[in-house]
Amino acid sequence: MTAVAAASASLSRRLARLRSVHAGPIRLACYATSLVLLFAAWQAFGDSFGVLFVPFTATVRALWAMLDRGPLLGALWVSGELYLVSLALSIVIGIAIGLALARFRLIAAAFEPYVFILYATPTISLVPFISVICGFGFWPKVLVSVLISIFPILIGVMEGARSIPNQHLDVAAMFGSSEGQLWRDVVVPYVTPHAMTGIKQSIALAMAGTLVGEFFLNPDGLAAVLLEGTTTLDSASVLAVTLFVAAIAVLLVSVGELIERRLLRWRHSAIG
Amino acid sequence: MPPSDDPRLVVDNASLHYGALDVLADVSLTVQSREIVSIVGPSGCGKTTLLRCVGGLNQLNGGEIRIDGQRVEKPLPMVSMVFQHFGLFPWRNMWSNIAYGLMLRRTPKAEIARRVDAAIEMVGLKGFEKSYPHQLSGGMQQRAGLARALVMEPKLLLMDEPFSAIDAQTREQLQFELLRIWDRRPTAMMFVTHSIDEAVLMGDRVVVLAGRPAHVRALRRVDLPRPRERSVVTSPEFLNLREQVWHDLFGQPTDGETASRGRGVRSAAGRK
Repeated sequence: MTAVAAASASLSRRLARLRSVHAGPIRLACYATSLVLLFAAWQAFGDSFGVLFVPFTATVRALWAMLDRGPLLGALWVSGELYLVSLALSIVIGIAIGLALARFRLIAAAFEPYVFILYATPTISLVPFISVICGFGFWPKVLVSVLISIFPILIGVMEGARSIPNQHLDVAAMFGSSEGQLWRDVVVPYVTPHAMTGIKQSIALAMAGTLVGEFFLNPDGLAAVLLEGTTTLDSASVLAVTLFVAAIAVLLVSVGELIERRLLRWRHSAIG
Repeated sequence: MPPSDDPRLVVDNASLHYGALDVLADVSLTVQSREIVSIVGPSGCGKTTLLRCVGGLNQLNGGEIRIDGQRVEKPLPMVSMVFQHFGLFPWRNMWSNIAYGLMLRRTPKAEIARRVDAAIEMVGLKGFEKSYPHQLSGGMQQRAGLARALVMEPKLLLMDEPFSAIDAQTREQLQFELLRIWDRRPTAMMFVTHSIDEAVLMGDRVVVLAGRPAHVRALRRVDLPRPRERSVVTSPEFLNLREQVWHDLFGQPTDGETASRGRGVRSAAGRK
């Protein structure tokens, strides 16, 4: 047995051990530990910042009260509708614009600058104009939320569709693929992972977008609850709603990850 | 139908340039309907470009390529190509990769299944139908690439350095398997390689492509018996041919060669 072989054997053992870290139980334990540490720190320093901050347990108590007979579930219903509509629109429009910008050069020449201008503009600075033009109803809020959440999908899809390797296009051409078949067999499957990466980010961003839309245009839903807490210096409620929204966001991103893993089995099967 | 003694493939004074850079200059060659013609030349000499022109993936600037009398302007359905980079779609499993071309042609499902299974059997990939490309070794991926081409029952098979990305032992194995497959159903084949040994082993004739721009520097007939067994590579005839091709490639340039050197890069004024 040579030294090289021994080294490579030990390397593969170490790699195997590293991979096993991804295995369910250990990963879950790490996650739980980090959460416990975070909450413990929160608890320990919760009283150190005056009335504007409260410890973890106080927050949980407030959350429980708000869930039990408070306004939280009703507010969640209102915000949830806004959230789902804006996320769905972000996905559909983001993918459509991303593909169009990537595959049609003239469309890209005409419209790509606007995409980056909008991306760079803080959406909040557009809110006054949106309210003047579109009012304060449901759809202006959707517009704000979409403007905040669409770009990771749009840009991910655009970059993905632009980076399709020539070798795939050669194979398709050589086997006589039509344009429609090329989209079905090459463009869509190639772009899917890029779209999923963007969608996962947008799942979280649409949450922020929903709250921003509600906050600045006729407060409603979760933002109204938050706003009430801030104006009455009820920090426990504010933190409770924040914790609640964060928990939902984590849950939704995990669902996104699950869907991604299902869609991209051809990538993950070697690891999983 | 053309008479059977007409060449399947005719390359007639093919020329190609990218801007001021000449790639191919007056290349002419033929491939008969049951003949393997090897194209050998140094890396980057334009042999792959020539093959891509025959495949209809690149266009000539001058001259003509005809397959069964039909001028090649786009990929023709009776032509299949095996790529150096395998070109399997990572999101399709092996079976579905091989079925790709037949699916594009809307072949009936039962016929696809029959032909794909037969092709998988032929290249020795039985049992790996459900595997994704990244789960297969390079050699197995190229077997799939070969099956994907053969399943179309092409009249002309274009091989673009098919074994150059594969380790040496597997390469040797695949060379003889390809010969065995060809013996069972001989078809016209254009085999591009940078390996002199491979060119002589596979070919009925060897076209030596060299120079800038590339032109046919020599044409060698390979009178080794078929089926070609492993023992052939130690025969004096094989070794002798290998020497000859080596000298065609790396020996002193002939006078015509020296004269043509100045034409390598045309003056920009010569082009529009």
